[in-house]
Amino acid sequence: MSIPESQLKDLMLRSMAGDEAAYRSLLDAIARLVRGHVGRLLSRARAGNTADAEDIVQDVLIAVHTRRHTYDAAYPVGAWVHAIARHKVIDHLRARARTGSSLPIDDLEDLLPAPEEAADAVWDVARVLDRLPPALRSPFAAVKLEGRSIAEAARTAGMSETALKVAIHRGMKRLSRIFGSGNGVA
Amino acid sequence: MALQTEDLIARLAADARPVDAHRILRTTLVAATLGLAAAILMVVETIGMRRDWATAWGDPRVLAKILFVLTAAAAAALVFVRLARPGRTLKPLIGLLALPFAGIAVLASIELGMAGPQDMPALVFGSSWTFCLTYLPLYAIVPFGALVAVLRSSAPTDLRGAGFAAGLFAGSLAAIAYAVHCTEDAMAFVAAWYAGAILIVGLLGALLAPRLVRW
Repeated sequence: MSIPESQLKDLMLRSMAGDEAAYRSLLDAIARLVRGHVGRLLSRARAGNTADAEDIVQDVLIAVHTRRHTYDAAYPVGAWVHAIARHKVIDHLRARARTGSSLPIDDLEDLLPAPEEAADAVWDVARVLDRLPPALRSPFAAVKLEGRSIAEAARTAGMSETALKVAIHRGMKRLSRIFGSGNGVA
Repeated sequence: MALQTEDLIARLAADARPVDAHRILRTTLVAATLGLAAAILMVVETIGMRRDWATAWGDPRVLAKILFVLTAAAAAALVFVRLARPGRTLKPLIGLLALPFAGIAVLASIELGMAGPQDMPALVFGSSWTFCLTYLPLYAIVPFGALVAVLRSSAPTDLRGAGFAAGLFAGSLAAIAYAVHCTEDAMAFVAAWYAGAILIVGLLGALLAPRLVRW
């Protein structure tokens, strides 16, 4: 179950006020969001296996926890999370480059999308998700935001792969109607 | 990693507490106040105050100097608190940082335009430009250290940019302290050497921050 930005923000604000139940749901949602971000960033940098990825996900969660006072309510929660995840992925790749594996670290910053770009994309997708019929929201997010395979998302949503593909295609079409073109949204 | 992500989430969630959304602002204010107090104390103890403060207040050039160091500190402070948050970058904020420097440069060119060519070197170089360029950055060390501590407890992702802002902020605070001592009141001097010294600290901040600020 992935949740739209408006709900994410609501959970975030309640968490900042000290609501433990809201904070639990928020961390669950953020973990899913981060898993997608980290997987995508690592594959774009052609690095890392899944064990690495889960380590980074945990690092990001700890950073989210210790630095939640840096969240600015004027911005989307998704963008804030993405910026932290990107920082941790770069950090991790740098550390690994230092310990011998030869990654082109200088290209790293250029390789991974700039914070604003990525934040816009997350923001756009979040806004589009809000406009999708509720039944389609979570499978669409599972594939487009969390980087899951169609098969996996279909299993989770309890629908056939074909039905899910059609649903996602419709979602993307809706996206291009709203934003004029479907480009620029991962 | 032995710990499962689910267990980690459970532990973090158990630590839910009300969070101060203004913590960056508060800690920055504390760091800047302590840094400025330390810098003023060090200036007074090492090179001393200017003795003519009673009359200096009436000189519009002295007021321009004070206005410059205060606005440079204010602009750097605004940029600093923004860059302490993740996802913010320096580039869109450069204009704001440049504003006080542009202002003093305009005043200096008016001053030089009204002076005769024989007076220009005196206005620009005064008698202590090397001293200013050497000593002013030294008074920035304590404020810079305090601001780095703020960055380490925040979440800057543009480390060079945040370090540059921290350096300009610390350099401007050091310039406020240095102005307590310095009797060079030509606006051309301030536009060249005060601004130059502040920029040196800014560039050092950009250079050092990626090593000093790990989170």
